[in-house]
Amino acid sequence: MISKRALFASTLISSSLILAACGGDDDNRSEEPTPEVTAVPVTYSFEVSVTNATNNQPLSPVAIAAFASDYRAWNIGSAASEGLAEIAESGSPATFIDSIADDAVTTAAGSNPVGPGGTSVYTIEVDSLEGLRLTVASMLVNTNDAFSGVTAWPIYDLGVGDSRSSLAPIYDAGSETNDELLANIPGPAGSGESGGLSDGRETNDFVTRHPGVVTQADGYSDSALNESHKFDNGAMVITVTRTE
Amino acid sequence: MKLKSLITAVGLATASAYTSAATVTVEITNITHGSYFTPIAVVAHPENTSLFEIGEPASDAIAAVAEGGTLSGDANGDGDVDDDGEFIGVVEIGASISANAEVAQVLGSDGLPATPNFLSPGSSVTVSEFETDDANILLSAVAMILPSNDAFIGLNSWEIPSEAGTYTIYLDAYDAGSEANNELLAGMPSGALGVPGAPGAPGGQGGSGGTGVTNEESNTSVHIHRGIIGDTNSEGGASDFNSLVHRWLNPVAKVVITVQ
Repeated sequence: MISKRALFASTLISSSLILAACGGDDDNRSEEPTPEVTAVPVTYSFEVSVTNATNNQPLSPVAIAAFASDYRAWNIGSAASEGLAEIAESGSPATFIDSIADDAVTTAAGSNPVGPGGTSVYTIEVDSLEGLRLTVASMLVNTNDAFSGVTAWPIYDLGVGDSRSSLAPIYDAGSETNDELLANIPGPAGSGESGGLSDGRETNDFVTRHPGVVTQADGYSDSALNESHKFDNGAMVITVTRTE
Repeated sequence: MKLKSLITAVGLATASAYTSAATVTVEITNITHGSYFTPIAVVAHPENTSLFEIGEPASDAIAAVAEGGTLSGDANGDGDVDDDGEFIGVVEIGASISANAEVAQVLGSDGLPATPNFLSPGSSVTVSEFETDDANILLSAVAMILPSNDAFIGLNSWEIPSEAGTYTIYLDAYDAGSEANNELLAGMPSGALGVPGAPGAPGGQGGSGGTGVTNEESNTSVHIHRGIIGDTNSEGGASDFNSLVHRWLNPVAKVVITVQ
């Protein structure tokens, strides 16, 4: 008999891993003058690979940020920040990156969308691993305000050559009503909103998982979307690999 | 409240030496964009018991949860939930087993604003420091999803770990298989078990005058819910649900369990 728990519940066990730093060789202090030593900066590098797992939802230029804290770029039930709403509504990472630049250890932004089936790889470099966590966010551009990503994703425990992967879920930013109208969809299926946010916020002004798109194929004749734009959970595979 | 009666024994119990009391805190978040949860039952129960099983008919008690959000286990309202044949679960309920189950708390009885206490999209409720007995090593949770005919969230017999820590589990939406998904709003109460009709759309974006999506429920076992159809005609069409508001993709709930 197969365990039903194994079938019906995926369990994540949060754990912390303490990295012990090697102590210096201080055992034999001498009276000799210590030669001046210039500290050699240590660089830790990570490759962040993003693969679009959808049928026909290009992903907007990816926003990436590393934090030395458990900062979260969004929380279920809380309103999306202006920067996140702009990613989710227009696909532009600029406002989001600007808004977190002071707090983040490093940021990166893609310059091109990642098409269905496509993969883009980004590199980030930091000079400390302590508490390092990653945020990745990108819009499903043929929607009103759907985005996918991870936030507060631990990478501090990765050794060189180690990697971690996740099929990122799809969120609704809650900042724009899911009307699926041409003017409110920035992607190829729509025509507008590349310039920024829509006015105001929708009634449910908080981040949740996305309910999916209805499309013309499912009887919503005003929709700018067709059956090809439908999706289920999992918009992109994010793989982070420590390379140095 | 005799919620223990939701429990049915599954299979022939194999005696296990594993027993462990635990203190658990359970936080449940509605992660849907436009659906509501009725008050949630969190239940600790013994090994080899469960509230529901995929592929098996729902008990009347679970059908009552899924069709009307009723947690009493008293599906026909006669005040007797133990011996009147209401339970049609996978095997007959064993009195000794059901007596050992514990109901942590019916979420929504406090900490939520209105009566009835629906858990709105994006909101969370917590059962704090629930002390479970030695024998009750499995944790389950059920609640109806609104609007729907007989959709429910289900945490299914999750084994409480002996190791202290924080565990995150995402729940899918199940269909009790006990009622046709006609997607017509019938008000509360929405009729006897098996009579199609959804009790309500708490968000206020439901419609009326629908002709009904279907009158059949071909799969009468518990199964993963196929989702809401809905439409964008609030005064007609097939469904009284709004396709742009009341759909969901799995998972629909996040459960964070802290074992002390």
